[in-house]
Amino acid sequence: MSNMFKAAVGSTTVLSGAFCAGLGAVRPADRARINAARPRALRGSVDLDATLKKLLPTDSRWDYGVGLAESKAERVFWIEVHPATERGAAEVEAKLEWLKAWLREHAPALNALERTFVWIASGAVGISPKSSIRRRLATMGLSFSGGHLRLP
Amino acid sequence: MSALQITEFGQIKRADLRFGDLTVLVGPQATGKSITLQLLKLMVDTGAVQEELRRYGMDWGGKLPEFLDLYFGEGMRSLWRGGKTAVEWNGKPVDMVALAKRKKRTEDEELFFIPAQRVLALRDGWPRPFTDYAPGDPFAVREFSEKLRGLVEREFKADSLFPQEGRLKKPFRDLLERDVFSSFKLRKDRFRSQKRLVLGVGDDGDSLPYMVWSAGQREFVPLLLGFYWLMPPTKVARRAAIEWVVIEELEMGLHPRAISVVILMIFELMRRGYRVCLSTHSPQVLECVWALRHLKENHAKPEDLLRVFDVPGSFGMAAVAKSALAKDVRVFYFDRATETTRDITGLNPDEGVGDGDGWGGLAEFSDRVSEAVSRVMANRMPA
Repeated sequence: MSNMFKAAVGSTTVLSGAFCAGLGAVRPADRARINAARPRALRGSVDLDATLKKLLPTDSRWDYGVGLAESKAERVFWIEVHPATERGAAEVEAKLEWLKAWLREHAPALNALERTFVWIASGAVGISPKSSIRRRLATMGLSFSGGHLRLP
Repeated sequence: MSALQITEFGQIKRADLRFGDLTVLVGPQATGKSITLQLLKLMVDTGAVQEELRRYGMDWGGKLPEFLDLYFGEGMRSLWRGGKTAVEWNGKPVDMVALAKRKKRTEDEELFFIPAQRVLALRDGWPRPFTDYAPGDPFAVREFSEKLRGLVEREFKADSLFPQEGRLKKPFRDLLERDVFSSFKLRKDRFRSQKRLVLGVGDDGDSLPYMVWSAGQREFVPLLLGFYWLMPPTKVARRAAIEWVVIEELEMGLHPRAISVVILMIFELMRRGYRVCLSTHSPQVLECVWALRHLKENHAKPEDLLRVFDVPGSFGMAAVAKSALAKDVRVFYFDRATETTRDITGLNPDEGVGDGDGWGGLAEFSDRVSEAVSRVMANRMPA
């Protein structure tokens, strides 16, 4: 069984030792918000926020990367758990910009994989489903999943 | 709290509704929302409905099938499924067969119904009388039409209907001018000997007859007259014994800005003490309810709610918003798949409801749009 996600994490120097099997890198409180429809398809996870905290303490770090096998390839779900408010949206937007730049400059192997950027609300959802904020984030490639994420 | 339970009636297998100060019904077409609202009217106003039908020479011989055809409209006797059908009003079983027998009017009418087909209430720009309709047309449409006729013919002595100082406060008049009528005035007019409503520009400008009104104006004018009927030009806040107001699909033909004004006018009805029931296909209505719930839970101020509507917090409007924030609001979803209703008052996007989202299917398209765009943008744009 190939594991492109694991290989890509392994080739990213600053993530050395950060790879965990399944959803192991996701903190328990956040893990409760994620449900995998096909647990055997999980290809591992990495906690970017904790791993890069010492190296980049003031950066708007993204939370997690989770690898998932799909029918023909692997996809990385880049997951941020954050308050779903208008202010939170601005913060997530900044984090997404950081993540894209970091992937481009420091993790080309991860950057080459198919991906989905997901924002999970860490509390009550304070942004309407019809909100223009969601549309703006969508144009940046970010999907909002409410309080829970179901990995397909 | 008033409650209506319906079993095996028309397309409804089971409905369980508990009414708040504002109750909103959502769901796909033909899932029983309108039937439910008409049944609510019948439960509240049985004697008054039958009295009205008798007054215009209708005779159903005390038989339920004939009565259902008269009240709900031709062919609607099929709603009733014999012994399978059951209706409970406020926890008490209703014997529909006995209800159809002639009943003496014991109480004044308590529910005012603004039907979805309100555009039919005007013909050539003048409200149609009850008897102008076919016997098989729904009672709610005929009665609404007749009430507008009485309003326009008897209560408005002057020709001007909009703007109209006696019925609506200035902030509402300003909003209607801004978002619905623009510079148009609504007034009574005569063409040869025929009375009619026309839109005019200024006091002496050309008159635009009904047939050249925009679709939105044709939809909105009967709705406005309905609001006028509910807001008598006296110090009394409500019309006679009317306690309930039903408005079907308030959004029809209206731009979102006009919808916002109508929602504020509904808040005004609530401030006056009316209990309002809506059916809607408008996500904007649910957005307002969602905002109202969150603002209420977080002890927001009236001006926070008015910000939703982009209106200044004048004294009159602040009172309307303050009242709305204190009201009990409920939302029910009519699920086509299960033919039942579900309380979705929480409007929680995480709680899917069958063939829709947590908003009764009204936000699922937006969700899919965002999902499709974000999926493509995440992988196609240069990272």
